[in-house]
Amino acid sequence: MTSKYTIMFKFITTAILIISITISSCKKDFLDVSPQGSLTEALFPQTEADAFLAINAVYGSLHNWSYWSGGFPILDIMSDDARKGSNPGDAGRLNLVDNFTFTPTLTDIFPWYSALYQSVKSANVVIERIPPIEMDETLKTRYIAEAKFLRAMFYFNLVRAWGDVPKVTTVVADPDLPRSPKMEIYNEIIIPDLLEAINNLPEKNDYNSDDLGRATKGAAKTLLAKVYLYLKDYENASLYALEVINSAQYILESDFSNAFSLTGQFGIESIFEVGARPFEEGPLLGGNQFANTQGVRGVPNKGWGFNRPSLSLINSFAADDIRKDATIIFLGETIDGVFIQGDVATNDITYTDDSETDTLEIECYNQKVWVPGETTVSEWGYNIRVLRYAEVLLIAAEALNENGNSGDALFYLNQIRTRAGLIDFTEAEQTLLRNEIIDQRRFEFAMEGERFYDLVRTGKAPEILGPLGFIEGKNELFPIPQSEIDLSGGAITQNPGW
Amino acid sequence: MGKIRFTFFLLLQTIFSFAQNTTVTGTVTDKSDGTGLPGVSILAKGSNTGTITDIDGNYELIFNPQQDTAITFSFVGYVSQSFSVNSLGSILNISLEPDNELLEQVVVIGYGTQKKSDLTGSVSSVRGEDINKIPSSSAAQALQGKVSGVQVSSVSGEPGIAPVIRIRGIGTLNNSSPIYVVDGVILDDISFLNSADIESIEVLKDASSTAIYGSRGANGVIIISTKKGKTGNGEYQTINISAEFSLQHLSKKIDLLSAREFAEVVNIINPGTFNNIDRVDSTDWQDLIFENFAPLQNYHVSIAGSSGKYNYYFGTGFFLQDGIIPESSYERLTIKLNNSYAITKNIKFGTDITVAPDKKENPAAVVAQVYRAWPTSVPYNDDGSFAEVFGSGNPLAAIEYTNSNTESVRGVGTFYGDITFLKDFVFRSSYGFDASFSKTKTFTPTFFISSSQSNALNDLSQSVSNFDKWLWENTISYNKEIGKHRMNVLAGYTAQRTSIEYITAGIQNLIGEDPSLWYLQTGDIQYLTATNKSQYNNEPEITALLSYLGRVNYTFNNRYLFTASVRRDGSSKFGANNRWGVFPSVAVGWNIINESFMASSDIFSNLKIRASWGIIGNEKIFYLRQFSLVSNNQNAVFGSGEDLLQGSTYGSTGNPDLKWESTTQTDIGLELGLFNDRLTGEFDFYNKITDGILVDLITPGHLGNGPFATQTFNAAKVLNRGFEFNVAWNHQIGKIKYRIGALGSPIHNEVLALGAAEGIGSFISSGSLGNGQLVTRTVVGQPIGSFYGYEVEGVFQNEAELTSSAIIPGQQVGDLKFADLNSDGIIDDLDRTFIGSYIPDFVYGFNANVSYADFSISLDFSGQYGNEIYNGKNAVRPDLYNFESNVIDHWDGEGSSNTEPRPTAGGTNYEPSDYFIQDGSFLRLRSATVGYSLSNKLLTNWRITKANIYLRGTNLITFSDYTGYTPEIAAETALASGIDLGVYPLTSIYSIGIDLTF
Repeated sequence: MTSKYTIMFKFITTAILIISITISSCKKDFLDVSPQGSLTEALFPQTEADAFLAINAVYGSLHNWSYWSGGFPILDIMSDDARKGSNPGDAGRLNLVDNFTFTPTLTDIFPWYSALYQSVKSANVVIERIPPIEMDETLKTRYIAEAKFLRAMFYFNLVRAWGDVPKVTTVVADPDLPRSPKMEIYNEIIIPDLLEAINNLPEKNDYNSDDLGRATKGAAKTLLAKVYLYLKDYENASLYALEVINSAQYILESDFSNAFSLTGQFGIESIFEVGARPFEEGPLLGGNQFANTQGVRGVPNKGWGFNRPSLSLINSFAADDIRKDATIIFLGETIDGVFIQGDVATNDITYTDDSETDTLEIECYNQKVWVPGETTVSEWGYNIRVLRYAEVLLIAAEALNENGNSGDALFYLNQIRTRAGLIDFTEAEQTLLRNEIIDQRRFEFAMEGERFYDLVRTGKAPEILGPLGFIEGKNELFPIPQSEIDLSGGAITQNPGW
Repeated sequence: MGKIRFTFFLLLQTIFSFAQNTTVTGTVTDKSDGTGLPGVSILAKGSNTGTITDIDGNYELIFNPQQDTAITFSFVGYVSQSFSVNSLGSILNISLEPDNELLEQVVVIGYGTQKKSDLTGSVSSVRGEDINKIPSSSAAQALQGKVSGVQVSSVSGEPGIAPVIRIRGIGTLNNSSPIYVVDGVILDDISFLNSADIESIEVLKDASSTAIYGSRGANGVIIISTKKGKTGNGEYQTINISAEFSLQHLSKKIDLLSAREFAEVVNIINPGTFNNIDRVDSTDWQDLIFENFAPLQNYHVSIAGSSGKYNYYFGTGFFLQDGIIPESSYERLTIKLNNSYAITKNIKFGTDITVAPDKKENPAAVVAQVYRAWPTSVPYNDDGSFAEVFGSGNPLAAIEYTNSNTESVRGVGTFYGDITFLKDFVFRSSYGFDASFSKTKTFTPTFFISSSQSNALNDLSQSVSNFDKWLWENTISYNKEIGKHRMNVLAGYTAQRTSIEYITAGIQNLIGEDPSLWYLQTGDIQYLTATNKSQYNNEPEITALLSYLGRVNYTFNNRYLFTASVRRDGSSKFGANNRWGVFPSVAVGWNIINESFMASSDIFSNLKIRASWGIIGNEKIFYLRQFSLVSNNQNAVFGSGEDLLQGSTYGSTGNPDLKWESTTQTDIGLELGLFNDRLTGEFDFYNKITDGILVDLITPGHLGNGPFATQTFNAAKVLNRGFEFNVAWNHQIGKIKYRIGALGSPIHNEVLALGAAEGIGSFISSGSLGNGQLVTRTVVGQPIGSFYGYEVEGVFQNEAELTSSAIIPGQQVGDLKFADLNSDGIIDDLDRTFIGSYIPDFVYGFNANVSYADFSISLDFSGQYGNEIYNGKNAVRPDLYNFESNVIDHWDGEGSSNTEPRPTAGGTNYEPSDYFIQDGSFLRLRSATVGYSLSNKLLTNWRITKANIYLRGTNLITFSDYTGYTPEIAAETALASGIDLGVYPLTSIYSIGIDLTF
């Protein structure tokens, strides 16, 4: 009996011992299960290859639909160049944008704001996490400079739209961050970032052809010139614009439409351009829905048909301005062999009232986003030209005129006019020349999202947009998305007038 | 040589012995009521020959008086008796005494068992015949209307679909399903279990009983014990065969417009659509699609027995259900093997294993189509091909062209060893597993019926999933009774690891359409790269859980009860900062009936009060939410050749502080027995507050997480408060035995907090109808997932009323008039309000059983009261579909109707409003059974000890105002339930069955 108990006692002791040992040995890391199928942030980026992925992703963020003014081209719709377009029932809320009656809860504001900061974060990943990596120093410096150019561009878009915004320069941001003054963003992020980019980025021609689309010294200088123009620092604006002009990297396309066309991709006029491939999928397959949003609706079925050129724009072009026809698709045209019939469900002509006397708008489309073909998928391959040489010339002209150098100003302005098929402008009086430059900016950059900001920065918005509903002291800036104010419990404040 | 001689001697002795055999006959009766006891095992000690009594308790045993010393009579639940052979005559009639110690109900609790009278927690049991009453693949159906505080919603008549189960309300915005513990293995679903293999189901409801399951107990625990060979019964063997055949029939048709009525209405909407409404074609799509009587078959064979040391149960069942929608079915084979072997008196090993392969033919999604199809369309063209059906597409074609099958196999089991030492200690180690493999193949051929119902390129989708879980539990328990003290102490340690992996892939343009070609490599490779991203997916999930647990049960003098338990859980699902949680509970009870002052009471036979408090957790969340992850495929395009270059950056933001949702529950209970337990009752009041409910909140934009990106926080708080009762009356008058029971529970559900006090974090919109409308909203002060929409005030009767009222732009005379709740003169989002809740105020059931001699009748009712249904299938109308018949009474000029608007297809009348809200209250005759026990002596010749035949009706009668197929509309998600978007109709089932025991 005793022996039986002894055996059993041994057996039990052994069993319990084995179990306890097994338990204590596996206990320590048993619960540290790393996530499967995904890398955690702590493990990335660690190598030169990772750094390459991280910088690419910053450009990848330009394929997010919401990045481009929240998806719909509301900047043009708010200007005098365009109306909502599409079918009357489709995204009807954009009519509130057209007549400036939208509110801070407009569902397009938040995704735009949020997508810009998403891009900022991806740039911060490069700027903050790549320096410690052991890798080719030249590449490392370039990647960081690329990210700084892009971050400056993102912030420039933020301050143009909202003025004061939270200043985020690290990957992990404080959720309770308030807004920083606009000038602080300019002076502490945008300008220093661009200066560093200018120092460390190669010129366009120094990249090999596989890298076209990456940030260049010329792009950084162009953006900096534009920033100074917005800041009314015309000395610096002309300085950097002239540096680009004198860099011999760029000239105007002889055919205006090649500044946007498929054949003109990464062409001689292009300074910063977002490459895209014709796949109906964003970053994953390299498609970009930007042009599809504005593409011809109906026949051919190229897109949703938003951003309809306004009568004001159509009628403002000089008769011999070749840019009118290159900017607007009229019904009945044949482009690249495709007959434009348009949307049969919408009226070809919309009148202001039932008497059908005054025309409000006509069905037409933005030709700058035209890509040859009869399918929607082709539109996804449209390369957005963010900065092009024509803008450098007009920045130079504007800045030089403001500095009192009307002679040089006219020289650069007339390069633009000449290509447009217009005779030279000769009036050297500063105000008349200023107005002419702003007009040329309108015709040159129509439907490219510049007009609204140009009117605001030159103070012409109340006069020109007032009749459309623009309220001075309010509509110069977009409202901070209501959700941001709610989430911050009021730490984030609203813009005046909203 | 010696060996041969020995063998010869044995042989001789056997022959010699045989010659001297004696026979004894007699009857074994039950001492309590004198009735014959069938199945009593009679064993001659020595030769080990034995027999069992027949259906009337008669036996005949042949034994050898030279070899045998005694004869033993034994039977489960009775005190065994032995008689020395020396004193035996040729007739021996005995009566066995019920073993009260054994008869007192023992309840299975977490990691053990307990006498019902010692229980301090709220535990309800379902056992015996009640488990097997519903012809369904799901054993959980047995709980409907049987356990107070449990809401079982049979959501669909689709073969193989499990019901939605909620215990004590809805305690979280996330997964609110209880956990199941089957023979010690903790599981999330029990679809592999055949109800014929189940011995008992216990539902643990309060914190005292569930806290031992710690972070998984908050939604309640359902413990299932499967059948086993019984110990203490000597050597025995019983064989049970049961067979049931049923026919399923559509319980109710939806009252839709007939062809002529439809044509009339359409001519109002689009004048001139039908030229001659007397000559339109007419099709009743419901009659055409639903099978009249779809068969359901259920067969089961089991063998249970014991050889003393070795106990076994072997059960195998086959379930086959054809759906009432053609080409939908479910079949399942279940193989159950429970063994235990006692190596010595103190060491026992055992295995409990179930293997269940099943196969499901997934139905075509035709319920909404049948509802929408124009009754004026015909199914076939003159040439026999499928005709274009307006409104929805041709449902017959959808059935024909849908090919989706899911095959899976699941194995669940446990291997355990019990060691008893130092007399009162038992150490148990068990290793459990749950492994399943499932694959679904879906193929759609190329076809063209109309431009809206066609498939230009045939396509194939394959998905497989692998689930693998192991669970290792080690416990030591100590049981001791010293004088008036009785105690049970438990301590344990458990570890668990789960891995899941899904792989989905699809392709188009297969080389041919024969099923032999339904494999990915027969497709066109160019559709592999550029098509839908979601078709290519490979999602893994690995989680681990470690726990320490302990419990003390103490009873003094059978009067004063005390229980305390604690479990400490660590889960890999939660952030490193909050990985461990502690879940304690305490409870007390008082068996007043055992007090001396009650001894003289002739009214009370039981009186007990108990109270419990505890904290339990819910860990059913997606394991990745704690991690900040790198997002791949943020690709960029560079170069004149437009190359796609891979990009990666930081993606979703995790929350390393994530922790358990914790539920604090208080329960006060009263148990009553009156008039010698003729009337019994159990009453519970509970208050349950779940705090730290995980909600996904949108993060500030400047954090850079992207538009609408969310992060999970422990932010919300929900209250469930309720009362439960369960009363029964048992009585016998002569040969008539009857039992009447009723149970019910009113529930109060309220959200106490959400993530934010105002703005977008202060409400959660859900309940998508699939047309852009969200019809539920969860806010503080309302039940979870309340319906949210306009209040209808009437119908605009004339132009004057229209112009003087607040309207939505575009509204016309004859349209629904919505209440301008904020009186700002316009109808907009701010005028939407709470218009109903899917959570019932009261869930109840009642039942009656009557038996007379060999006949028995049982009726089970279940119901709920005070819940609403959003008739979403009627609200989704971007196009012109058939209408429910109420449209006939539509507004037709001033004064005609103030409830039914003018007929429209789309427009403001279809905005979310209480027009689509219907009362979801119902009372259903869930089950009605008439049984007959054959007691014919002929059975004895077949060695049959018990034979029952029965007729059963399931869902025979439903009292409900709801116009849909069934008022039991429920979804797994707490934020959006009770929305009817076209459910697979529930059926009435007519069954005949036989149950034989050998």
